[in-house]
Amino acid sequence: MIQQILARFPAEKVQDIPLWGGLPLYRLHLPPDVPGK
Amino acid sequence: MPIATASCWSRRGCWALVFVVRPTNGLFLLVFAIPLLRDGRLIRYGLYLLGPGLLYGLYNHAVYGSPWRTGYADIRTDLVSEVFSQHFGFYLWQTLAQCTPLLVALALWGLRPWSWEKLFYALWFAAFLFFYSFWRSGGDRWWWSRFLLPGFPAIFLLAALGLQRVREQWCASAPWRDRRVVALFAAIALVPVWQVYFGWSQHDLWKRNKGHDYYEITQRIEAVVPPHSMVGSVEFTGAFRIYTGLTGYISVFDSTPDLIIEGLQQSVTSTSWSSRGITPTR
Repeated sequence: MIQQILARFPAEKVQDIPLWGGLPLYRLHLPPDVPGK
Repeated sequence: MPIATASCWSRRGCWALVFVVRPTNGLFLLVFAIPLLRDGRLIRYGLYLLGPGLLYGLYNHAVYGSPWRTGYADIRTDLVSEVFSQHFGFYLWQTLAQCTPLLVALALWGLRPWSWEKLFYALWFAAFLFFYSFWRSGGDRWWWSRFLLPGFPAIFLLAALGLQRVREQWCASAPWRDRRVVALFAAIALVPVWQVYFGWSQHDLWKRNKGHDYYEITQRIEAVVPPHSMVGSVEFTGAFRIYTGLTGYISVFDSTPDLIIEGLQQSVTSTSWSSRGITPTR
């Protein structure tokens, strides 16, 4: 599901949170073709 | 009403509420069908569930619009036959490892002579074993055996029946002179040794303070994202709520992208992260 979210939204990786084996943190942006935007 | 009676009723009420809020406890309906068919009067014990069930239905109606609709998503897509054989073997192996081969052997020994009561115990465990063997998640780490916990009491009860059978067959007179009895009790005495060894070898059970990890992770994320962000995760929404000023949401539901769009359109900065280390595919 997370892969689907990342595929659907423009995202940039912010950093890895080192606990629990390194957790990638992404910032999502609104895609340009969202209805109502 | 005497205080002791009130306390007893409150305990029954709490237990019944805990019972009704987990959908998979519906498996007990299958299990208890046998004793109910043999003695319909046992249904009176199910009446304890009526009050808490009604409360839960009212709550679901208020929150989700229907007493039958719960906070659990539709689980049908999580039941897949592809994982059955691997998960079935995994859960049997974990049952052997965590209950110990001795307890499992006693439980198997206790199945004879066959009776309706033992069929009930066997079905009790089998219902959870078979259901979760179809469950998509699981099958890799020891702690997935938590799914079987509602079925483990049946193993313990069968093992007790096995021990009773041992007593009847081996302990007629002077059992301390019977080497089989001495060996059996020596093995029982060693069970805690195995349990401690098993627990010690699970590093994430003993050697990590997971509660502190939840605090630490949410603090680190709060430090790098803009204030009032919505943060998606698999299992940390409670920690975000308690330890930070951020809003957490669960990122594995099908409705999550809609929630993200709604949040973004409200000019809330949205950040999603994964507790599974998945890298982006785009």
